[in-house]
Amino acid sequence: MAAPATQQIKIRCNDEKEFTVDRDVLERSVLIKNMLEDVTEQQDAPIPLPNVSGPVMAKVLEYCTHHRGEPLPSADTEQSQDETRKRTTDISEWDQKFITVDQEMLFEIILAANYLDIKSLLDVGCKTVANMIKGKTPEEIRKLFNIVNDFTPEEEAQIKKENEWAEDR
Amino acid sequence: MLLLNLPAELISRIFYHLDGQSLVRCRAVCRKCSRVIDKDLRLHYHVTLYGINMMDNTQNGYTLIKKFKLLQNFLATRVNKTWTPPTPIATFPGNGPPKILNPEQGYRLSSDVLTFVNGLHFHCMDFSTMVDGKPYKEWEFTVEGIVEVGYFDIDPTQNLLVIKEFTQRSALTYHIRSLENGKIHPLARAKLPPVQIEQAWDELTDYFEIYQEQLLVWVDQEWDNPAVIDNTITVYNWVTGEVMRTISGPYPSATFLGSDYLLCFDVATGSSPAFRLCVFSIHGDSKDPPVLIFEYPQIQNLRDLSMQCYFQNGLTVPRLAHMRTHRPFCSNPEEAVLVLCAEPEYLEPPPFAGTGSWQMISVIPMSSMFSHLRALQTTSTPASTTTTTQDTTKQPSTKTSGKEVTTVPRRVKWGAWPQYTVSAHKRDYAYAHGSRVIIEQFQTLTILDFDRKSLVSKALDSPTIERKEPVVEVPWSHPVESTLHPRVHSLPLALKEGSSISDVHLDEDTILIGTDRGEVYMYKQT
Repeated sequence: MAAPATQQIKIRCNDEKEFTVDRDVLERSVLIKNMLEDVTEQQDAPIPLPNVSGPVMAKVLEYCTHHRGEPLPSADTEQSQDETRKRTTDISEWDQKFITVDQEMLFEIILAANYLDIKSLLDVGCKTVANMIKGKTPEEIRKLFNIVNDFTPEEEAQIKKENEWAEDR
Repeated sequence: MLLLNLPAELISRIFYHLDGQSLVRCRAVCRKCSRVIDKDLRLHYHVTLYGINMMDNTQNGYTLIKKFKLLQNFLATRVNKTWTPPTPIATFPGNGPPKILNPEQGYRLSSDVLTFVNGLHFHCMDFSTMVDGKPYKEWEFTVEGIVEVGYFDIDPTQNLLVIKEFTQRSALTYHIRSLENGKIHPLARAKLPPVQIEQAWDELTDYFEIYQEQLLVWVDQEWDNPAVIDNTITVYNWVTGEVMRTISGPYPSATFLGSDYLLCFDVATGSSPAFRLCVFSIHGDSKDPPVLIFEYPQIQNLRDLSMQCYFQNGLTVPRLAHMRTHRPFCSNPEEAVLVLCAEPEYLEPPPFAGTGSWQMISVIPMSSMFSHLRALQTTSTPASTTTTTQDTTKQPSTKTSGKEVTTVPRRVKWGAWPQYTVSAHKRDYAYAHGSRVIIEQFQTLTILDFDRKSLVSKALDSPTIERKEPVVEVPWSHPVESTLHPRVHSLPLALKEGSSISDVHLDEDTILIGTDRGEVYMYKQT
């Protein structure tokens, strides 16, 4: 059903923070788009989004507003993930600026994008993390993401042995 | 919020954007990271692929065997709940695989014997039984009197080594040798006449097959154009050197059907677009017409026809325009199945409708063909009288009547055969190993297992068309993952990028896989 572009939708985050957003902006999220399509009557009650907090939603909405009107990726883009891998560093300038946030926020955005089903945002997030990992040694990766090395010495030796052929460049 | 707090599927998703080296390093970061990579089939595949490529590219001084071992260690330690990769048990005793493998020769798996060739040096390993993790028997020899091994095959059951040699690029010469020492086979004292070729050897499709004392050779000079196939099929007696039968015509390939008959395809009859199976008598006159025994009316377009036919009794017909180097030997050909692969262009079943990218794989038990042949041989007396009505322009009957062996009369009715049909993608290859059918899908093997005994008895009891469900005899340890048929095994293989499976050998608990790049993988059922 065709809704007027100016239709305003209310959403409520898990911290009670509410947003009123243009429908076409919200429809960047496949989750919300499907929800709205299921609802036939005009509803005034805000859509509850129990998995997203206010600050993260604000950030997500910033992304959606910027990209409003762009065609949604079709379902079969899933198949071309090998291509995606090759274009890893391919993040547009605006997106790059947008995603320059602290790690905490970055992972929250990835989680939210996954939950809200906004594939392009999820990709931007994942690519950004991947770019942070690239070229680093295991120790550097641990330091960067605050990861504890939980291998036993035996396991570590085993992994090292397994990776011997690949590390030797 | 930390990276590790993300659900595993999202970490996988991040890792999808990483190159092989980064993935390998991530495996060494922590348990969770390594588990994410090891459990994700795609990442696992990516890492392994990278590893194999690295083995090839790095100048780290490792020998090939050392690299194999490292890779085996790596594969053996993968943890994966959804799929347990079979552990390769390949160990190459002795000198191991030669350092430089020529993809044209390289190695061959025939029956249980794996043969490596380096120049004129042959190294054979008999894997029919494993003793202390080693092949039961192993031997090496160098052949003499040959400049170059063009192509070879072995029949360990007959102690035979057959070598095809290009003589000055204008003829093919066949050498029948002893598999023990590479010397001329004690029975093959007579020299076989060379087969003249008009084309460059690399533009030929040619094939040979040996069955007892007969050697079948066919050379298709027009391999790239199935519409104008004019093939010459010759059967020699390799003991006496005599030419037993020559057939020319639109038959892109041929194979032995027992020692008395040849089975051929007829693809370019002109009048009919159907693709046919024909039987020729080996002992008949060269002008005898073939006996049509089977027709695939579904095949509409000959230009795009590609087909393969494989069955196991030491006999294999490679698919058109591509030489397949697979030739297992089977003690009882009647227990084998015949696999026909064809690409009908217009008639497409629902799952693939409109895509133009499927092929039809038909499986026919060989026992049904042999039971027809037996029926023919018992009623052979009136056969020569019926052949006289076939061809009025020539007189084949006067010649054939003098021979002891009769030709197959055209009048004999071949009942419909029990058949099982599978749809597969166009680029998939299928062939048979005994009662198993193997379908190669890019780098995945799918094994259809037909219950040997019930299929055979069924064929003998009721020669009617019947779709027979394949019965899984041996369960493999990984889950069924295929859209082809619910009861198949899929074995995803981590092969080097760009290489493809060129040889497969199956027995009760072992799979041996060779690639066109010379890698050999051996897996043991778990």
